[in-house]
Amino acid sequence: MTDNNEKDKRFSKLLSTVEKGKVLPDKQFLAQLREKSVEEFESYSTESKDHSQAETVSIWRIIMKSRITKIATAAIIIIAVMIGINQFGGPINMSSAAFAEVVQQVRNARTVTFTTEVQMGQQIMRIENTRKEPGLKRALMPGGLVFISDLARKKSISINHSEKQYTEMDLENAQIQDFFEDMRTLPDRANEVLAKKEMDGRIVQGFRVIEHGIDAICWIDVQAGDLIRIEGQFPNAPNTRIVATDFKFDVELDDALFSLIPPDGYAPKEPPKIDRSEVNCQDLINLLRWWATNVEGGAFPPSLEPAEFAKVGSEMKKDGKVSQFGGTKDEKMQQMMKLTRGIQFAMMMKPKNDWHYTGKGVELGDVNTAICWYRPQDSETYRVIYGDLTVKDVAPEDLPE
Amino acid sequence: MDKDTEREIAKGLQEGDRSAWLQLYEAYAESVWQNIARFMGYGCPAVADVVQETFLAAARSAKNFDPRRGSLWIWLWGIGRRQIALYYRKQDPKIILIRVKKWWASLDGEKIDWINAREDTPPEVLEAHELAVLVRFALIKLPDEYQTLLLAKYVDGQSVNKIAEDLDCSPVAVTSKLARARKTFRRAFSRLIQSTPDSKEVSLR
Repeated sequence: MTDNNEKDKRFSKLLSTVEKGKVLPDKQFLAQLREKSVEEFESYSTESKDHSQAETVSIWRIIMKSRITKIATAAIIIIAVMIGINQFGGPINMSSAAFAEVVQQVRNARTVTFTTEVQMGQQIMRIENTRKEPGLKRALMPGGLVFISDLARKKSISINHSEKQYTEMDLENAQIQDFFEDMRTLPDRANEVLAKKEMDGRIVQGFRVIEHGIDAICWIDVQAGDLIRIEGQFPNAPNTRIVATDFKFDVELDDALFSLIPPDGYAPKEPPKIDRSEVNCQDLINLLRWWATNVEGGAFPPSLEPAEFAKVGSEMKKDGKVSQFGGTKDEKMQQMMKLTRGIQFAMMMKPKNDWHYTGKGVELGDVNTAICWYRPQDSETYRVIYGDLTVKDVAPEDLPE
Repeated sequence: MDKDTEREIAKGLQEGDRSAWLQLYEAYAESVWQNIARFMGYGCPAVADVVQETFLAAARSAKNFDPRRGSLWIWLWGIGRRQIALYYRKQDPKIILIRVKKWWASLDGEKIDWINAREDTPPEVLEAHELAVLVRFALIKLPDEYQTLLLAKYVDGQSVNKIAEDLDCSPVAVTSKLARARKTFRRAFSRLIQSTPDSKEVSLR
């Protein structure tokens, strides 16, 4: 046996220690997982391409663990871009060798600090982020608002230093999804390697990754192996962009930074109420009515396709053609959340619902014109919404042409 | 899996074809389970959870599978690795590492030669649970490709030609990459046992 063969044999014995205690896979478990995974695959594959693009776009902090609420987050971003509200009281999330190493670093970091700038239309919000495993997160937002969460304890607190108020929230059955967590799941290989360029005195190379609908470019100092900047864009929210910089990994962070105890003398404030009931046709009607009465022109939106809706909405907003919400910050947010449910309803339509929207140019009150129709699950008839926002169930042969 | 089948499954996944998913699952479910168990320990109760998270995450992103970024296995195992990393990130491995490092420090012999395969590792050391933990921790630190190569060659006993065929590259390239993978593994292992308990090298992160 040659020396190399001998070495190979020794190396093999060393590595094969990972086989210690080897048992065969649990067949029953794998059979159950087969069914569960195929269900998941079909659920995600039957959505239209545009719908799936929105899945990991995240803005609202509290996202239930379901596909439907992931769509909800995309819906929020669309409405938010259009309305121009940024009073979420929390962070807006987005969700080759050098690249692979950086990905590993991001994936394995036990602590990290970084800055994000979220641009929604003309507005930019800067957030200072601090993370510590397991599951401790802190975000410092404009106006001295601090949001802290402890995923292990499923608790969070937002502290408003300027108003000396705090809000405690229960994260049971919820998860906090954000930009950095999205970055943790990046694949080891980029879709595209971009040309090198100078950035803040360093030569960096761009690695473009398109994953779950987020189009991200990671700028890396290849020589030093440092992650310098990440730029993310959302196809379904064209005017929204996120830039993350100033990454520091595995720095010492005091647990006190993540304390969920409110400061002395601060007053408690109720958390915003989130309607978690299933979205329905009435939510869509509310959105259509709001558009027709608050967006200049008095007609229904030209499209409910998410990207188009967001684009038209933000242009209208930019041109001053959208009425402002009235009321307090909380009331404005409640209104926005309500509208979100309408676009969410449209986004949840699947091919089998045979969804149609024909509201472009139709004015509110037009009793004779159908503006949209779809087939509810397990129904033999279609549900039709008319220009006066009345609803009728009609047989397929009676649908508008 | 031959190239035609791979192409067919990839196309099916992109089109949302249920049978393509099932074909992929049947082909790789046991391998994914086995590899995850290798990295977490066969007795670890969280193996099933990580296997499940891997397949559910894969199912959700299957239609975006891009063959230009590697084979189906590379893609699937990349997801598996990420799920393992997410699992470990939520643990605090310092206590385990302190224990296994003490064990390693207590051993007599030319330990560096064992890692460099210049000398036989004593059978009682090879049998020790602690060594398996150290090897796992070192393997986890390697890039995907190196992990795949080392496991295929030294644990599964595959030939260089077979690996080359699976990875769609030449045997010469595989030999060369294996040399780099071994070197990287040894470096990772050495850093692991030399680092102090509180330093970042020690923590699995």
